[in-house]
Amino acid sequence: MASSIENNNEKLTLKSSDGEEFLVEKHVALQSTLLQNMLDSDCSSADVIPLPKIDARTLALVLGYCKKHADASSSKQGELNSFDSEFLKDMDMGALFNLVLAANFMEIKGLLDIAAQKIADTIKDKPHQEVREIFHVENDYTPEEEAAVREENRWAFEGFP
Amino acid sequence: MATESDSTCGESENANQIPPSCDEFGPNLPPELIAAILSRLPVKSLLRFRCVCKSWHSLIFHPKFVKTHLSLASINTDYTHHRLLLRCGYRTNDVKSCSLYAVLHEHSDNAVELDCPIKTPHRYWKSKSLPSDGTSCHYLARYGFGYDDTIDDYKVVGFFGDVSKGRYEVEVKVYTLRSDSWKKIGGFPHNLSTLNGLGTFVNGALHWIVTMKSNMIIVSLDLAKETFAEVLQPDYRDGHWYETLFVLNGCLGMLCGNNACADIWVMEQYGTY
Repeated sequence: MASSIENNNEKLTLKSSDGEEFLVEKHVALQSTLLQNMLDSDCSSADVIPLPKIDARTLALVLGYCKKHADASSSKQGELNSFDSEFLKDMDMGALFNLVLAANFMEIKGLLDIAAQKIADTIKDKPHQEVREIFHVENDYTPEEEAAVREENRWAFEGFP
Repeated sequence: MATESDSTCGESENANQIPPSCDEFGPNLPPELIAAILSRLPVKSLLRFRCVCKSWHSLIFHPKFVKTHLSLASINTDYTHHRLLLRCGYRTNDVKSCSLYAVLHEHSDNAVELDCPIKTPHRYWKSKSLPSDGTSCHYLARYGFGYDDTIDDYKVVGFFGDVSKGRYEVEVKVYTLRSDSWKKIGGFPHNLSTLNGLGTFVNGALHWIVTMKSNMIIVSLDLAKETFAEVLQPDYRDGHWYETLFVLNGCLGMLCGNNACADIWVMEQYGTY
């Protein structure tokens, strides 16, 4: 039985999809349910844990989030909230998409929540045509069908193309 | 190039690769993440984004998505994120933005459109008339309105004093939106004229103040179980002239006071002040 308290100071190495290695304190890694489960089931005997879906830039962001939240778990929630909004403040859509994918893969619920909310806040006032491009969605409506859906809620399109 | 024999291995490696960034907006997201993002949007944006494609349209109408959206919106304390549109009261064509919170947590004394507009967005302009409860003439009636999470349905509670019986007999009936009919329930042992307000919806139950001669009690009706109970009252001071129930951040609160001062009590955890 591994004791997480006893091994508190242990570090593990995470490897990004593009081959960069990150040395992480165990209590920081435990913010991720995926890593927690791996550590609990002792799957982590390997020296390096590969994270083949996450590039180095994204992994660095994820670990920054985890470190702040691991270190501040007993401190005030308000401080974390302002960290979270500052953390995502100037992030572009591509970075947010990578972040939400990484948070989903590593099972970091708090990060998934704030990243998904940030994306929602960014797109909520955009025209649907632009949202299509952002999400790489192909329009499968005929012009008539699209017009019919639009007509059902004409008011929602006021001020939109 | 992968040969026939190691194609399985090659495929799994490919699956682990990040999809190449198509453009500045980054990779494609799987459906569960699309749903996670859309469930955090205001109703008005969702109505527009039905035009994005057919699968988004189906997702936004899916009962599970509607329920997730409702529950996320009702715990979101940032007012701007859970506006929805509905017709309020009798003001003709007065369509206004108001919070989903208001629908779930405030009372309604008339039959507004009970559907969350996202369920039937093309119908939200119309208000819904409730069917007759079967009694010919009511001398007095009171109503409450709330949402039963266990069956994902809205309920109207009616308290009726029947004049034909010539006495203060109270019948309690519950209307459910889905069945579109009334059902009689029992267990309200109080006089109707002592029932204050229109029901305050907290924790799956409607709450009323019932005043009796010199004292008062708070009565709750659990909307799932359809049973009445008495709720603990705050330890308020004597000499107040008025009292009223309200909802603050999902907690039941009571305001009581007189012309000089007022006390506000909030149940931080349901059952304790």
